Amino acid sequence: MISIKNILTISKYEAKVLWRNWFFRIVALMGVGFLTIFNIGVFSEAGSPRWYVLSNSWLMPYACMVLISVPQAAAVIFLATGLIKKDKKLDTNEVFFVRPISNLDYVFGKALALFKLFFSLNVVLLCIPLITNLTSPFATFNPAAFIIYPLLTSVPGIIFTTGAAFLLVTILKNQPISIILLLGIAGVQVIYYFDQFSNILDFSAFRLSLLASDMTGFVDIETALWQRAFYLIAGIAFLFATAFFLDRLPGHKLVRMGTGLIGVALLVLSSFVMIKLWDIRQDPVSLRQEMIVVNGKWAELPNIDIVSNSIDFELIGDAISCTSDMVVKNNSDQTLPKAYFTLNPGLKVDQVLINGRSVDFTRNLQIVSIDRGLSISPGQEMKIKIKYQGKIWESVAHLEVAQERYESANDYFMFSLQKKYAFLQPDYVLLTKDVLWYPDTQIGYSLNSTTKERSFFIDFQLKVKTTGGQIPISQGEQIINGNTYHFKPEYALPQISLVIGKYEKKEITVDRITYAVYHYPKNDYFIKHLDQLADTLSYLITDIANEYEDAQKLSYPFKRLQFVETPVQFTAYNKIYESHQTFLQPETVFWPEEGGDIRQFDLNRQLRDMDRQARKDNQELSDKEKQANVFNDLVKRVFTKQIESRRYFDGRDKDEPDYSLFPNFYAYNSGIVSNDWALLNRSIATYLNNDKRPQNDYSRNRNGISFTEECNNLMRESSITKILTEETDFNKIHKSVSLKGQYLFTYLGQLVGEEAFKAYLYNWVNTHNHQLSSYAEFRRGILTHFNLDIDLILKKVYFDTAQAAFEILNVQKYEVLDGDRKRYQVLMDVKNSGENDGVIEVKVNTSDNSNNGRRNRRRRFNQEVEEEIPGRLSVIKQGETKQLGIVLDEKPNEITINTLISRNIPSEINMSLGTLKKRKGGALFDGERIVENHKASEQYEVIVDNEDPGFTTFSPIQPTYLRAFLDSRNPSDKKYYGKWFRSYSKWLPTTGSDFYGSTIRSAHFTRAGSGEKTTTWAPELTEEGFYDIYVYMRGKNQNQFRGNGGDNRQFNYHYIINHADGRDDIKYNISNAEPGWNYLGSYYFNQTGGNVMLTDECEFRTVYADAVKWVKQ
Amino acid sequence: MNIEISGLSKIYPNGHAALRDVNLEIGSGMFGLLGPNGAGKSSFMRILVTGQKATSGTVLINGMDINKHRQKIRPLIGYLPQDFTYFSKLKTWEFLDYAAKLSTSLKKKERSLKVDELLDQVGLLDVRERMANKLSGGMKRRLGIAQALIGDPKLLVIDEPTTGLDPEERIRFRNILSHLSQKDVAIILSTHIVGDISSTCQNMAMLNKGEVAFKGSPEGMIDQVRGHVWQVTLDNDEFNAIKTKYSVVSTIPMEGKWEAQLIATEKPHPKAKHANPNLEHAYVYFMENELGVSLV
Repeated sequence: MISIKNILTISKYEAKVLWRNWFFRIVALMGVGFLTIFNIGVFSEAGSPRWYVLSNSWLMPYACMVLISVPQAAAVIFLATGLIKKDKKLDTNEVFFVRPISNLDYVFGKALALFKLFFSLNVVLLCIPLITNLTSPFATFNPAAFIIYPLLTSVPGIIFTTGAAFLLVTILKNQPISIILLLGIAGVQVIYYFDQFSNILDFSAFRLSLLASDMTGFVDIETALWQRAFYLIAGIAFLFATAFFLDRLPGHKLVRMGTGLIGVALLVLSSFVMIKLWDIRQDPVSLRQEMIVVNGKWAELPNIDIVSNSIDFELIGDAISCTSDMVVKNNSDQTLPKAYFTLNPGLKVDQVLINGRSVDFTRNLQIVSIDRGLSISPGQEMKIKIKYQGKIWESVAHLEVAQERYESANDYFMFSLQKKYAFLQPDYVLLTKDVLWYPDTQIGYSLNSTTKERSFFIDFQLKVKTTGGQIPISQGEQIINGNTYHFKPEYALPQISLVIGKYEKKEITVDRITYAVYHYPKNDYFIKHLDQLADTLSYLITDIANEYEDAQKLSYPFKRLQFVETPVQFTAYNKIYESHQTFLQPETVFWPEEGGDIRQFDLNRQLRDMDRQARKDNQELSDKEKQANVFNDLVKRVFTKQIESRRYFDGRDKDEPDYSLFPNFYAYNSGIVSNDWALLNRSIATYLNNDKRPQNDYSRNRNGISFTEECNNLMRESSITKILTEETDFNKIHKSVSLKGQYLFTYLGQLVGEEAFKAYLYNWVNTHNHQLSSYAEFRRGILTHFNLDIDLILKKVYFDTAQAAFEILNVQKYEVLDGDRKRYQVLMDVKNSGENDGVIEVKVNTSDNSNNGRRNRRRRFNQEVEEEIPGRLSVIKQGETKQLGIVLDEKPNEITINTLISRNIPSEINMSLGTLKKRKGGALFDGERIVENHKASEQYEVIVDNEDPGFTTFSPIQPTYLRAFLDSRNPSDKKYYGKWFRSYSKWLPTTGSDFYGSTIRSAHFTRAGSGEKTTTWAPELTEEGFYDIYVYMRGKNQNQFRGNGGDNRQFNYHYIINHADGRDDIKYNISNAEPGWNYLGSYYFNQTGGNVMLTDECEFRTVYADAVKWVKQ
Repeated sequence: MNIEISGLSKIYPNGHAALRDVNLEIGSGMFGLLGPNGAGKSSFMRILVTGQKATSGTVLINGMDINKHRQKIRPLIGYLPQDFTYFSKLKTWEFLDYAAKLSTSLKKKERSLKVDELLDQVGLLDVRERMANKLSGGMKRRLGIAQALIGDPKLLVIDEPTTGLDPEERIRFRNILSHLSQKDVAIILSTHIVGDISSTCQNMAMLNKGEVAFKGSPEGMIDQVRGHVWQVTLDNDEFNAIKTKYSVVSTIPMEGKWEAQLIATEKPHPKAKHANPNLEHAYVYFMENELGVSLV
């Protein structure tokens, strides 16, 4: 039936034919060229590579294999269809069909030819990363990676594509149609199903998670192996099917039947593999749903609390065997007839003992409940021991993360990383409370009840037995006795974690706190780059710690801080009820393997950048200084967050890793727990956290309004409870919860005095270290101290959907000569015309270089952080108008009014103050006062804004076909458009601080053109006469992209004034325009018929049309 | 070598009957297959080389049913199709070696000798390193012959072998075949060049519209036309008149007159004389008189 000799013969000569084919040669050459450029540019020293592409020894060959996977599939499709097609015109195949070979020989021979060729090409292509790898001074060479990746990615890919192409062309008997179909399938897979269905459909393994870790090797390779097996088997099945359907009479009937049967058998087998794959994907998804339902059933049942938990832990292969010795207590006010614990459903409970006596228990997934023979009276304590063993099911972690987010890709370089929430393998263990590896009484996420917080911290103890060379890491003091490690935390904790691996430890004790770095033996690159810091490290740490504690106004409450390296696949999420991610554990930070893709861990590059910067600034820096700067930059940006990043995109990155140490100051140390106000504790954490936040959110530039405003709109429509329980986008939940928290405390701060209230909170935490306080106690405390019942405020803040709306009126700015002294006065009226009371925060920026932030310059290393002038808060009640006065010694440049939760768009208004009026003497006013009647201007004036009916746009240009097509595909109901979207064909509205408006500051904009597109402001005047006309300008900011040397160029807007005496064309020079109203000219206007027009003619790329004012002379 | 064909029919799915109840017995030696286009020659040959199934009837090759013993029969067959141009990007010797490796179990060295021997035989040894697709038309035909011969086939099926060959190559080709027919090999030659058959074949058959119109030796076919071939010299008007009445096989212009050979059952012209018949005359006679096909 099959002759190896024939297959080899056919493959030998067919491969020769293919190799002499120009198409293959061009493809091969392009592959070599492309990969060479890629390797030189990305991995070799010539391209100054990032550390994270070099640190992982598996990455280089894998990246190359991934890059060629899709083009290779396309090339195979082209060649395979040509190889097997039967030429109808010429009897070409018949010469071979007459030969004494079987159909299988023929098909497999040709397939093997193709395979040999592409596999050889792979080998050649792999030589490129091999050379790059071997010549790189920093990359580690890992021979296994060069063998395993082609076998896992390329081989099944080539076989599947060949089989599919052969079969299709044999059945359809048409090469072009087959090619189009197959390329179509490949295209749909790559574009439409990108990262969908756990990449089951990814036949070329383009996005399949296959990146191994240098710490743990391949993780969860099972899915990937099954996936590859599916395509391999299906590919071979297709080859058998091709032989079956081949248009050649078989040698024997039975042979054909046999071929068909094997083909069918293989197809059935591949179907089983697919079912298995689907189960692998679906099982965790269903399990998570079931667990959420189970949580819901138990969430409202009163339960005991754990006072202490002493865990004996033993690792046996890839399973654990544990005994948890607990003291539990009934803290409720009723006798409890049953008690329940949560435990990973993969762990089997062997025995439950109460006071030494074995009792019955029932198991429902993650719940272990003792339903009978139990009665715990209020305040009673009891000893409960649970013995359990088994494996950890990771999918139980982070139940609140919805399926789409749970399955979304974890992007790393060009790969989608396997998401790991725990590790349990013979050589490595990483367990956090998220996977329920020890019994707890806190019920996790459910749909209908808010997650209940624990009300007491637990006295943990952990005993870990290890085998040789493995070091366990957990919380507390370590007592080592042979292979047994005993961890005794000094304080009660909300949770503990356990990591076991072949770690090395570097530690230093500074100011009674032990700082330890745990890393894998080979991953010690940081020592080489920071080798000069040994004697100064303690000073550096002291400085950083002091700076941090000063900023947070809290002291570090633990005796140690350990930084534990974890495999790059370890993933965490932002949470609704917690303000921190799993990367932070008590006393512990899990930092990614060799720094992952965090720029600050790329020490080599950081040092080099520093060199460059020093040279530019003519600075002489010693190596030691450089290293110290780089070290500071790393710690302050990644862990203490005392240097903020400059740019961010609010609302886009749901789960950006966060390694901030702050949870150790608040969440793992203290807390105020309320059953009714589940978000309170988290809000306090957010409020107290003084990590530096990123500046310059770009969401408005893209979406027309900022993400905060989107969330404000949402909170106006739905209560926070509804937002939490309905399927809202997590980014919006996260932002809304943060905004509510910020608003709550700003509001409270205003009622009782901002400083006093914050001081009270800090004091509360510092006097309640290592314990949780109840909300009732906290409420009592505030009532006594401030005579304020916080309950009412909470209700108002969390349940109200009505929002304030602020109008900034009558802004006055003066440079006041006060004797010899120059002082500055800013006055403005703020009116709340909304439906609720509101709070605003006003900040004044006095620094000259306010533009620096807008230029995308990276903050320099070790640059002094500017002392931020604290903002002033002001509560403005509904319908009220307040005058705010600010007196400054330095010239104010910009004023920022943050309206927090309001109807305002933008919700944070940045106003350039422009030129200040000079004034001699006169009273200065600093503070706020209520304005009874806002005085209207005596002069008759009419303003037409772009939001008004008097404003019209004219856009006669047809959109391009492509644009029209794209627009029709994405119909959108959005009102405003980001400035990054420059419409060629029409005027679009956008928002921004420097536009005119009462609560909504908006303008229309379009890409500059030749004057065809126009806007018209037509006023309705009650009186005819001479009017001064003003236009509202963005001032200096009008020119957003001032090119080099463009500063002296003059730019004009083209206005057309249609007045009573005719028409005037005005080229108005906008280069020196003031922010705000600018005088255009004076004309006689009748009551109707007059207007002002602006064309799109301009040398800038964008033209803005905002507001026009008519002021009667 | 013995091939027995009985009741062979081939009806295509579109209803076209390519072969109807063909009964033939073919032994060793050259066997010519003659017939106009569309007579069913190619279908017949494709069935013989296991490339196609007959609708009904049996073909026994050395007693083995072609439908049941393809595996055993295929090693016995050498085949050169009419439009065979599959030379792709292989060198002349590689192409032959490829065929040899699939058809024989020779070791590399022996195979190499065999390939060169065959190349020599067909006069291609000088161009053994040349890419096969760069060969001239005649060379390609010869390479085609060589690949058909490579496995020492017992049944050689050759479709229109001399089309496009110059006279010298045609003679060389006939010689190769004659040489082969000395062995116990059956060679089936399909052609519309009557000369190929008359000069080489001991036996022949004529197919028309899927049916065997004649089977026997070429001489037997010529015998049937004896006495009906005439030669006559005519002036222009006479020639034009006679052309419409009889099949003119050949004409030679002579000093304003025509010397014509024609086929007629009675004397076509008072001056006409009997001429010696050949296979071509027989073919024309056969087509006109036996089958009623008008060639005029």
